[in-house]
Amino acid sequence: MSASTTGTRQIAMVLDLNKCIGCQTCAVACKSLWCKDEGTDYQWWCTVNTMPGRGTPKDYEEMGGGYKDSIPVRGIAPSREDFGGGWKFNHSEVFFDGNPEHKPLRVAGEQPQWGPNWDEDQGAGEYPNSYFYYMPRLCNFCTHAACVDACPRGAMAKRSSDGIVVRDEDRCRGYQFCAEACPYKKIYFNYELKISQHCIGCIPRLEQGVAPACARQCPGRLVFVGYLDDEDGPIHKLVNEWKVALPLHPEYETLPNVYYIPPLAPAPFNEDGSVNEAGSRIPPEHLESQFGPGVHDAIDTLKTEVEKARSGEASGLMDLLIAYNWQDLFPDFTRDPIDITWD
Amino acid sequence: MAADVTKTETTSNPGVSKRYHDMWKWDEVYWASHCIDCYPGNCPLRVYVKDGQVVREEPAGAFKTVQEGVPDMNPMGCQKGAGWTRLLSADERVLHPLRRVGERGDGKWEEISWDEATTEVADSILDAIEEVGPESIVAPSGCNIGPLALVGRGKFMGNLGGITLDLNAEMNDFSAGLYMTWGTFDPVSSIDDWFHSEIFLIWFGNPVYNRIPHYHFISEARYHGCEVINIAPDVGPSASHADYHMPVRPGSDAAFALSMCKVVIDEGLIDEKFATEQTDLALLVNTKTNKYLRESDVTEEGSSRQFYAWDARSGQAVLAPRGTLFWGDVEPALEGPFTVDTKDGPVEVTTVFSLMRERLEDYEPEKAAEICGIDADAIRSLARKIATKRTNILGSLNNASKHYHGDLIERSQILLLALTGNWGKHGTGMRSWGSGFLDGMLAFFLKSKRGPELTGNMLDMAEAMMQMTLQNDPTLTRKIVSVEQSRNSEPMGFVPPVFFWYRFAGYKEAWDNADWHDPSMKRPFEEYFNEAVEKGWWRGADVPHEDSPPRVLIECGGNVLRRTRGGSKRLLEHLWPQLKKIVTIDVRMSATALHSDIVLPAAQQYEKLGFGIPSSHVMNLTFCDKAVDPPGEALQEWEIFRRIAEKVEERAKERGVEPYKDSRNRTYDPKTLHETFTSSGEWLDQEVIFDEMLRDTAMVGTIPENASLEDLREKGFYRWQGLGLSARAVAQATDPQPDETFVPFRKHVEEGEPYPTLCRRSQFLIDHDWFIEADEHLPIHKEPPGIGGDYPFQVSSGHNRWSIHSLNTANDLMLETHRGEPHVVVNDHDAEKLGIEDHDLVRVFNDAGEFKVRVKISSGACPGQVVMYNGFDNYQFPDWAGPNDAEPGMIKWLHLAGGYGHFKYWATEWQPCPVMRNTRVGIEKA
Amino acid sequence: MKVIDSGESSESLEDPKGQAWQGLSGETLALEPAPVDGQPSRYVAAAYQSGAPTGASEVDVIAVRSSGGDFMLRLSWPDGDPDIAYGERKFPDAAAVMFPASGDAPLQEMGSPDQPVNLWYWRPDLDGECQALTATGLGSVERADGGGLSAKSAYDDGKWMVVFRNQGGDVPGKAAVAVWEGGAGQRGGLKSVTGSWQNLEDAQ
Repeated sequence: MSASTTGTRQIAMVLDLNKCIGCQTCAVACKSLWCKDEGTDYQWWCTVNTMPGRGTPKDYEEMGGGYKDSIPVRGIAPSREDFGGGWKFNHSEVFFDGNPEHKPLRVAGEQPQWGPNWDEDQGAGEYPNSYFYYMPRLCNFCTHAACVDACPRGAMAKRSSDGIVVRDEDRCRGYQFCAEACPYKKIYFNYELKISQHCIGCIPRLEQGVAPACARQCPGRLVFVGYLDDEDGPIHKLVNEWKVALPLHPEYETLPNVYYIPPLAPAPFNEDGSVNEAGSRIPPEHLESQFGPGVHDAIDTLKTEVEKARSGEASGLMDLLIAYNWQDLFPDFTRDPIDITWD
Repeated sequence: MAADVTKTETTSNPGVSKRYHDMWKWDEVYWASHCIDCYPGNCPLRVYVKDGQVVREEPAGAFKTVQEGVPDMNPMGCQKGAGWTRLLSADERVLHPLRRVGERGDGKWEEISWDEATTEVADSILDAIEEVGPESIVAPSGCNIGPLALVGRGKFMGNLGGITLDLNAEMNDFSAGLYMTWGTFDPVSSIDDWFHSEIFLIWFGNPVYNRIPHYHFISEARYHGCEVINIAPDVGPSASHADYHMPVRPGSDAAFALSMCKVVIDEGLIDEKFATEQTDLALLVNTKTNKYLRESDVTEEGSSRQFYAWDARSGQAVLAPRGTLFWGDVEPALEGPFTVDTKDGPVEVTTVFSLMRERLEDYEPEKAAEICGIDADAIRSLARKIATKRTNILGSLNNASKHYHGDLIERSQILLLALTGNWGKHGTGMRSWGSGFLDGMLAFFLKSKRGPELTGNMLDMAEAMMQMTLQNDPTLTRKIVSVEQSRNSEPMGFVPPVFFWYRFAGYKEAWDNADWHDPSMKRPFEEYFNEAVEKGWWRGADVPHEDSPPRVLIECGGNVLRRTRGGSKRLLEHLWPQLKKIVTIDVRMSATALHSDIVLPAAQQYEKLGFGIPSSHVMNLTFCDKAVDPPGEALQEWEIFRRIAEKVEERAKERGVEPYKDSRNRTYDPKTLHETFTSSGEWLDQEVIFDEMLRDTAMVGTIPENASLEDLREKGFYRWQGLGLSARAVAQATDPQPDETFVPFRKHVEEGEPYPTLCRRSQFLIDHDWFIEADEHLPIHKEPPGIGGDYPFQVSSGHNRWSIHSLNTANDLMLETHRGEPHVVVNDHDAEKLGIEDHDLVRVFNDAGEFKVRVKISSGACPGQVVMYNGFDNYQFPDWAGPNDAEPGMIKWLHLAGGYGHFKYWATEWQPCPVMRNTRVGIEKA
Repeated sequence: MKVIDSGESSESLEDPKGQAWQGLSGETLALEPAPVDGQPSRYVAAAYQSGAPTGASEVDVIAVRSSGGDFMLRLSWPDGDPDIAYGERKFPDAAAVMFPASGDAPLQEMGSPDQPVNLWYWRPDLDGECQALTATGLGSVERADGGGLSAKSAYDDGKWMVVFRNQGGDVPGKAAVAVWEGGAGQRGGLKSVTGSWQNLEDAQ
């Protein structure tokens, strides 16, 4: 073990899916900041999808990668088509160039059949017990980062100071082994620069004490950011004490550091139209397929604490999730960016 | 999980390339908001400027905690706001004054100078005045624009004598049921007050889509013990975080609400004190006529506005106090019948409550379940909860009122709240929207000179008048006086657009079609329309008259072709040919701009000064600074109207146009238009105008005493210290507290202040003859009429997630977060029956028209319903035919009623508004 | 392998299909998939243990010295379906020639810290640029000064042909060749390579 290991820390996020309304503000905030340059047109490092659904990229859960019994699993590198997006529209043709036949505003050229949020709000279930929930996804800052493990060039690394997985874009030669190995498929290929790219963990912001764009701009107040080992911080409490925050697809074995509070759902109706008070519209097996077997206890804990709140009892968990002060979501990154003076 | 858990080595601490560090840097930061009609919006943002360009924006996150134990309002924002910068340089932007080349709607333009453009507009205005008169100049009243446009358009149209179509009828954001009951439709609690709720009913709303900055208060309330219940036919986005979803059959919500009312009453859960004080339920009604017992029924000299209750203590009818809701020594009986001696001898009377209770016999849960599709036990269970918990109905953005019988639905919902004591207390109530708290902006319309003196005089005068009025009639309150004053004025030349539409815009055919109305409309629609006009119920507001056909249309800040229920095709066919000049002032190409003769380029957000629409939702005056200059030749709207005014004045002098009168006999002189518009050059600079509005607002005491543009530039927003003097502000009937969330109607509930209605109480009995004739004098459930014809599907709608109206619907970032073009949501089984697959193009049609659109299949869509979210612009649909082309835009005939207490036009309030929900359509693969 | 003194100008030799190459014969070298075991990627080593993509099995190499004194190489190999750009799970084809920078640089390992190798790397999407690279082991490729290097390619009759030109460059002592079948997923360490160094005998 290297000497610096003792000094290593891990930044983690907890995303409370019961607060996520699928508004895409995180996605737009991220894209507006980082993905404006050449070759990033179709890149959305942070995406939000409706679940159950095919996700981004399309059917990402069937694309392999990650580990099985600690052995890397062969995966597929998602393509631009799998992600969709990067659309250019015919604004000028519709508005200014003369359009007496009233052609509508459309993607120029071939019409898309998929996009970053194509199956939004379609969900699953049988009416009236239909259901869906929203899931934002970004780089998972994995403890056992399959992408780092995959890069033959050592172009990727996990930082000791915060565990963010970074890429040396100058070293990257676009082999896309990282994208094959990443089981979450959150690595994009820049077809202009011919390198892979992914969420940079908003390192320039973190280094200034400012919360990541996706977290700071989230109007639903659902993104907690902090150091996993900070026992006073919300992350540690939610992940390790209350155990209500779970990694997505733990079976991928990369030990992700983005955790999710699993979704509650409306009570379903019985065949006769009466309400099944004890039930949930989201099948437990679906939740388990996403968050692993720990999800059942997590849901039980959430329900117990919600009940407590309804009966007027105090609940430390509920208070934590309410996050009365916005900045409690990211206690170590509360700096207002406007307080920074650039040289 | 594998036993052998490996970790990725972290021996180094590499950074990211300098490129990324540079991407985040900026030169300057400005306060910003989006001063558009994404009501209630008001998100304080910062925009970051680099190399003279806005590069991005981010929520300021600067709110302080208001009330201990209640979450703060940070960060407030949404994806549209986060991607707004993209719009500044978007391909949709208009950068130069444009004149149409070829036919209207051909999409071909030539760039012209501002001088050419304003000359052409000015001459067309003067032509119209000379040919027809000033009321041939029409402005729709979009408000996606911010105050510079509002004051610009208002002063321009006001000083020209043109007519401005009331925005609330244009948008149908008027809740008639709330108005009938309360005398105002716009009580609004602050978003953080939601946290106090114990039952949160998302009913006719979809806050997951359209309350993005505020939704967290609902999820946080849930964690605080609140049960969230979504009542809607479809399992939509706002069902996802509900504890219960109630799949009410489309249009049957009144039955659901009334059934819960019955449970509350039958199970003895009624809050009698609240019901007798706050409402008319204890007032006496003649059982034969269904009319209130009035003092004029009892004595010759008695007032027709004085009502009675039955005092259980003395066993006789007593006058209900008009100056207070409190009954003093009287113990009003809630249940009749009784006999009362009148001028015509003894008559049987009962209470409104008893009449209502009789009516509720039809809504036994088992019976109601058959109507509304909700299980009887579920109805009972929810009713019990509502009766015992602080309940809030988020009627988010007026969706009930977009139903033909929305008024009945709203009245039924309010009845439920009334019986359970659920308003005027934290965490309770029922919401619509309210605004108009910026007294400085209202004062600006009246001011001809800078400085506090004139404002001080105006305030003193207003207060003196108020005092005089209150002394003359001690039963009056400031609220009632303010509201009555508003009902008797015509701010900014607003008129209810029904007369314009019926007479000139092709609505007559649809409205006269009895099949598309409720069967209880006994006579032809036209008769009611004529009766309303002839009886003078709309006197002064029923313009333009038949002899004043429209000639010039000036669209600024709206998109009349997209949003008018009744359709773009109808307007293009009937209205457009009468118009000699169509002028659109906008930042972008809209459906309306595309069909205009002249398009004038306006400044976007961040390119001009602005305030968010003031509302008690957010309790702040939110500022948007000018961070950069507008591109090309774009100008802020005040300056655009000023230039047109200047040109009108110049051309009027050259042409020798004489002063003229409008139909209300007011005189206007075009030769002094610019002089009047600018108050002889006082109002030229936007900085001066804004500073003045702020200082004047501060004089009313609603923002800090030292408020100024300079101070606001520092602070970014002010929390309201009071709501001010405007009628809508006073109508909130609560004084905001600095350390408390805001809930309206506290003065009614805590202090017994009467309501501005006919009977001075929340009024469930509307004993107007038309209402009695229609059996709508009390809340009732009625099936939605078959608007559109005999077709198997019903349309539902609501604001979409991806745009603010059509304002940023062409933002490529937003387009990429859905399918890039409009869609309707159809139930999976319905789709299968129709042979339709996901993303197929379908034709949606009825007897009114049709449009084509892609299909999204979801099991969440209610069978038999198609959900067509609102906001896509017509140019996003094939042939530019949008959903409004299949909406006949029906109004309910009863909403033409007047001559009855509070049934009187007042801008944005009482008036008929076209509806579109439950329109019948067919679908087939295109 | 002989370096033929062609007598033709560099410019005429730059055209892979040009007359200048007619009648010249070089050698056909066998190519074999590079072993994945030693790849500096746990992922590649494990995931491609079986099913590593395969590509060309042989390459024709002609080495010449032009009349202008430039050392030039023409590689040609059969490819039924040329891949010229990054696509859906596809990479552009590529070819490289590797030379020991000094001494006995190991071939399989692509040099070592003490014994680096130099490479000329061509890909159809690089618009005629020839990347000059150095390496001191697998995964260590770095860009180097490519002054004087160029590559021109043609695809014809089911074959890639690539001409490398090193303006004024000396003839290195030995060389090895690698070819990537991008459409099959070959890139980086997944490639088809010659099994041993080929000595280059300069006719001069």
